[in-house]
Amino acid sequence: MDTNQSENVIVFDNLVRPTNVVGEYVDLKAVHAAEPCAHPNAAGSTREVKSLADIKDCAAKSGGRLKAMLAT
Amino acid sequence: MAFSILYNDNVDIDLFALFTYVNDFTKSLGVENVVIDPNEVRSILLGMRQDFPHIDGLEKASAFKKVANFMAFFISQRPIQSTFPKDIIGDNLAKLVNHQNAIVSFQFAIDCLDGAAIYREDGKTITLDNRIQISRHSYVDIIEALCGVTPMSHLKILAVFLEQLAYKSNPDSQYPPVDI
Repeated sequence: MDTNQSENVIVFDNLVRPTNVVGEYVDLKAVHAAEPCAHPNAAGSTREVKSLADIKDCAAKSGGRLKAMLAT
Repeated sequence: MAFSILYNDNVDIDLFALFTYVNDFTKSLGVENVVIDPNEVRSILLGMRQDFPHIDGLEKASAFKKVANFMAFFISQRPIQSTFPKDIIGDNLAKLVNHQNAIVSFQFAIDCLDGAAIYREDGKTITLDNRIQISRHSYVDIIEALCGVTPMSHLKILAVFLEQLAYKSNPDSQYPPVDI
């Protein structure tokens, strides 16, 4: 998909919704959360972006970097 | 208007951001037609916020703990079902069960922390200006270690690991280290 927003539709052209179950059926289990981290810390926030285009850009660069590294 | 790449007040913003990231990252990596369960992704983004495992709650948690919690949920819930081809990621990574979710979430974590902010209690804001760097050899070891991560067992060590990786590239961002 071109994540350029057009007519309020966002398309992800490299992603596919699963149409069947891959692997084996297992009993459903809830994800158990961790015990809380007890030590206070300086609060923080993740990187800020201005638009989905920024995310596309950093994702594409990341993919390119990893591809180059794995090719060595 | 700027927004965080993750942990926005509106979970749908995180959802679009994450789908956009996975779409463009995998495309650039050379992996086509990535099978991903959107319901599972939404469940991850909701679950990682719920009862956030930090004594002072989500708002006062560090970026490292936030990103580690995302990674632990993402890897353990395995939303990406299709594996990545060995001609792109190599034999050593391709043979690892769940490599695809470890690879994507680790790369997303690196991008989340590239430019992340630390709000010190003295009022200073520190920005992680330098991106995390690792060798190819370490990368394979890290992905192997990440493949079996769960929130309950690995969140805390994962948060410290991400913190130390970030401090390695940004040594002035940490409290002064001493010999122990």
